[in-house]
Amino acid sequence: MKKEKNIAAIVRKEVLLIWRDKLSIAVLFVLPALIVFVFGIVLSFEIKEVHIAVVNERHEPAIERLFARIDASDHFRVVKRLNHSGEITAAFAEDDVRMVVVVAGGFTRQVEAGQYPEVHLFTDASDPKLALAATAIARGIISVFVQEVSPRTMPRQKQPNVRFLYNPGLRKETASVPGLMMIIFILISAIMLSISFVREKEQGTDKMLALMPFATFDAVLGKSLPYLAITIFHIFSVWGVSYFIFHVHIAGNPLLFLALNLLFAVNSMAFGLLIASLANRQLEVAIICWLFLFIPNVFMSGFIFPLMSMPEFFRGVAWILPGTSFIEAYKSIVFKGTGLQGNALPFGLLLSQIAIVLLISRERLVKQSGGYK
Amino acid sequence: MNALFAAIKKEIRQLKRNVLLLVIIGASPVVIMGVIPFSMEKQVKINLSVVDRDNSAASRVMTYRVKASPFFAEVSKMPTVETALGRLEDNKSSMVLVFPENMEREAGKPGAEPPGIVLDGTHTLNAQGHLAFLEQMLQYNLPGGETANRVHQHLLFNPTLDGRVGFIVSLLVLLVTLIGTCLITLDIVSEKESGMWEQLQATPLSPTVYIVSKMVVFAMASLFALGAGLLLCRCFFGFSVAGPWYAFWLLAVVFLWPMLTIGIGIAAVSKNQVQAVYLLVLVLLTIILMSTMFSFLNAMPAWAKAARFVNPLYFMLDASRLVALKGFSLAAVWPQVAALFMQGTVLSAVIFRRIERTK
Repeated sequence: MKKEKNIAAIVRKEVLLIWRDKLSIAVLFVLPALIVFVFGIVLSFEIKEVHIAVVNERHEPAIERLFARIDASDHFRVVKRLNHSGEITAAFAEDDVRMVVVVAGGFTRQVEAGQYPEVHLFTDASDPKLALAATAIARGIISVFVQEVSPRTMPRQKQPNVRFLYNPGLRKETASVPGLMMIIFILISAIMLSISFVREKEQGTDKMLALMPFATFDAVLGKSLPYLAITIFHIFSVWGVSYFIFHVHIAGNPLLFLALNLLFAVNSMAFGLLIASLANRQLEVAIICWLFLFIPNVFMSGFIFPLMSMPEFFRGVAWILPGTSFIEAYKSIVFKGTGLQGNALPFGLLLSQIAIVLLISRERLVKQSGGYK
Repeated sequence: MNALFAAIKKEIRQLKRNVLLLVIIGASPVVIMGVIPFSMEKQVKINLSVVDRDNSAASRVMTYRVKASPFFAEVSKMPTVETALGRLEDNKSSMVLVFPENMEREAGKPGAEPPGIVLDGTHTLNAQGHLAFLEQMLQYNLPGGETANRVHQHLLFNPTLDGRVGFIVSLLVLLVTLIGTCLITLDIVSEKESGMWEQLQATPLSPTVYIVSKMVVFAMASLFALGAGLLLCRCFFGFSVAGPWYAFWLLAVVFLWPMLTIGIGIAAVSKNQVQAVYLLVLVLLTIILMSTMFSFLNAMPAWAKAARFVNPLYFMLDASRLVALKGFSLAAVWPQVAALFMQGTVLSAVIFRRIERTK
């Protein structure tokens, strides 16, 4: 009975502390939904309106028609006309130009003779995926155009039937929303809990807490519960935004989805505790969270690069990160509709990470609170 | 000038005293640049399952063509469509290609069925890219000979198609941004919280000089991380700046000016470190996601595109990609440098006035 009373007292203290700082409260409650809303719209991983420059040295009208056809597609936009092919390299310095289409002279004559005209595509390969895909798409547009204007070339085979599973309309939100949710939980849940612990350390109030007749467990639980409540609010607000604004419907069991979110949030909070046990200043907490939680989870979790294309060893390293488990499980629950059985690996990993991280941080936390278990 | 040097000395001493912080700054390039780029895809790799229900010369030639392509790492034949889709569901393959029955025999007839492709659409860029590769491999005229495709592809700046280089530059810039901004913001706010700021106002030292000394020290700390990161990239991946090296360093220095000033601005409006940390999350996330680090500028809505003019990270990324990846010289990136310079001037004018006013 005494234990519950102790925990309730610490919860009350923490709630009062959070409530006092109005600016933090505003940021804390609004931030996750705002980030998902704004960047769900802004972030897009698709080949759309790639800026290109064109060269038509002899000003042939047929070439202009080809350029107009390329410009008319969703994928490209002609932003620049070069006078001659000597300007190609310099063209990449401005206007975010990613490709230069050069059609050699004699295009009209070649087309009329039934020959395949010569076209050169110069691509900025510093982003290989974009470069290759854009070249392939441009190639398709050009060959359709040639077939149309020159009936004497071979009839083209039919376009294959394509079906995109789980995302038939290729909506961009399906790529960005899981990643954004991952970023939000890993940053905010971890930062807010560890900051609240380290602030006490920095101001010396942790010594006072250690003097109280509380067990370390009670103090930690009492301090964590209010933040858990805020995190649950975050889960629902982010879910609301992704459901009502981006129409991301959950194909699987919504309860399982909720469980995943909760598990991931608790996982992030456990990492927050670990950081709190290591750091002595809030400055260190902020830097650790950004450098060692945010960067690896964003780049290695499959949010940007598919896990399948990683080298074997580093795929294993990526699975150590909680973000990987979250994104994989999110995708399979929300898009594929798999049940718990299909997601045993991510759930198991998230759970074991929580256990390991808490075990590691336990000793230091107990020591810091005066050794009173 | 003497006051400035004294203040810088104080900051360096204070930084030296905090061992954990020094370890973090020193270890961050090693941990981040030494691990993450290895996990990035060096080359596009696609696992494809083929269901050949036609089993004709044409379908086999198409399969061979796909197999010969460097982008298809694994091409496995599946007996039925169901097993192939099962592999897709288990994340074992990313695409399924189905040749229908009698595809070759009925080619050219009006009711003929073309090949079918099924792929995971959840990652839009990968889906579009993978589809484009496969369609390109299937360009094969069924009856009769093949028309020579004379669309030539020229890959500039990165002919080996190494997928890492672009993100190495992003990571380096991110490292500089995060270290510099976090350090200066929280350092100032912690001094504010501990009452140092009040004491400072009783001294003849001007707040501007004091803050400038902090800017110098923390800019040096972030530039140290940048240098260590560059060195590691050179050792591990053979990556070096394609353009003149001084251009890249100059960009980093000019970029740190508006970025650190943003950090000082956050410090000026927040009352305690908790507020500062939350505001930092809000501002940094916005700046990072709005820059073109993860998405393409062209695919953004117009208002988001316009927002780049107030985002230093956008100009930094744009310019450093030009210099570090494409080998342009300083002359080509002067608009970006000018933009960063202007952002730095405007922000400093606003923020330093606010700080002087508190004195």
